[in-house]
Amino acid sequence: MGNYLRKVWAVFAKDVRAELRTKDIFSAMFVFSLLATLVFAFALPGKLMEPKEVAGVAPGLLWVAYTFSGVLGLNRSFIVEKDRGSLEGLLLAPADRSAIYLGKMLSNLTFMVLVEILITPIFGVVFNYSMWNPLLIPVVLLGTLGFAEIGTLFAAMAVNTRAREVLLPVLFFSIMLPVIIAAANATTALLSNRPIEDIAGQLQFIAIFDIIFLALPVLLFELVVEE
Amino acid sequence: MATAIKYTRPTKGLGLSNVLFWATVFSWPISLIFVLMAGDDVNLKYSQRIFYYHLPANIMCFLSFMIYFIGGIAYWRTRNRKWDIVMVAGLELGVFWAVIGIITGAIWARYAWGAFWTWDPRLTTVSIMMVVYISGVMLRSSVEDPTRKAALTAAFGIIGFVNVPLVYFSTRWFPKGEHPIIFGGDSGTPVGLEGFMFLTLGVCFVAVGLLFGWMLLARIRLGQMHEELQSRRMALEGMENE
Repeated sequence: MGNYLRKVWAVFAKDVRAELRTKDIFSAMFVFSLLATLVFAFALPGKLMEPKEVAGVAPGLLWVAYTFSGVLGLNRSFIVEKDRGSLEGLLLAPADRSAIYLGKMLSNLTFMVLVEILITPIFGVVFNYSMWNPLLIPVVLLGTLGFAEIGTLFAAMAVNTRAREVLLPVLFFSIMLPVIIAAANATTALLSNRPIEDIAGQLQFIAIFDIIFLALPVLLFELVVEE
Repeated sequence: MATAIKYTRPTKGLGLSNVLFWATVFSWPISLIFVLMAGDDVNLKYSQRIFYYHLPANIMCFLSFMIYFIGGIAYWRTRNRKWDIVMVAGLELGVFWAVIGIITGAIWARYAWGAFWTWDPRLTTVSIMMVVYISGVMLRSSVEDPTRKAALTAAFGIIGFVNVPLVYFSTRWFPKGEHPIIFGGDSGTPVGLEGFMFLTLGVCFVAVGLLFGWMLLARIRLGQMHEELQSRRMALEGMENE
């Protein structure tokens, strides 16, 4: 077990080190989510005057920004490997394929969470709406974990297809819809100061989703990457 | 090769496919007669009759995705290419029946609720499910290599099917709708079915089921023929290269 975890860590550390040197994925994700936020602000000018109206749209838009920037990073995480020819090397490594999946998933999760930490306050400033609620942290973390789990598997699938950049969002969004529904709903409840009991169901649901879709990709990753 | 040729030869006489085809041709007019003879619903009047095709179509849709899922599991465990043919048959038929179910449902909803569409949990689930499986069709069409195509289809089918109950569960955070619950369940508008209506529903189930069975067999045979065409083409190219 310790050996397995060390391999997961090695893949994760490799991704983080490569990212620290190039800053390709992270900068693209951050700039994209920033632009998405500004596009929302420009596309909904009238909605930004009334705090009540902002409360209605902001949580949903926040999750749109998260998912769109997330899918950008997920796409890069495998396309970069494929284009440099290092994907074959990675798959030849003397490690269980699921360890590669878990390492990749953790690095994608890290990048997504970092972007979310940066973009959420900016989002609050642009929409002039307080985004601060400590209970938002578990909602965002659990939701993003679901994104990373499904997204990493689908990115590995999409990288070997013809329409790889286009295909990942198509596959990813359709499967992620339950999490987006639950997470946006929980965020709305939290930011309008409803009690924690109101979001317990949603949190449980996202946690169940995360557990199921951690187990399935670990089993299926071998199938989708084999030559 | 010999076994492949045996599969692809069009069946004559009492082949299962032909029996299903003619049974479908005869059962559809009969089902229509039953539907026209069944009494009007108290509240929904004439429009309720589309339900006799709406419910079986949705069941067939679910059945198709189940076939896709089972094919996906079987491919994952065995890596046998024949399961790919089963998977694609389930996938394509499922999308087809989902579209039929949604169209018949929308027409009915227009008369029963006054709108073609509401964000009812069931409607939301079916629409998300259809989007999921349409993206599955897109996934298939953008892979060239047949082995990879089968592997990706299988993985997506397993994930997509496991996702369906989760989608249904998540839709409870949508405002409640008024989709009737026919069998079991304690919410929604009840639709009373009695005597002849049940019989009519049964006849329609048989008619739709026969059509479904015939389409499934036809799609599987088409898949086998496609497979054989590919292998012959490859054999020909091999001979030319020699």
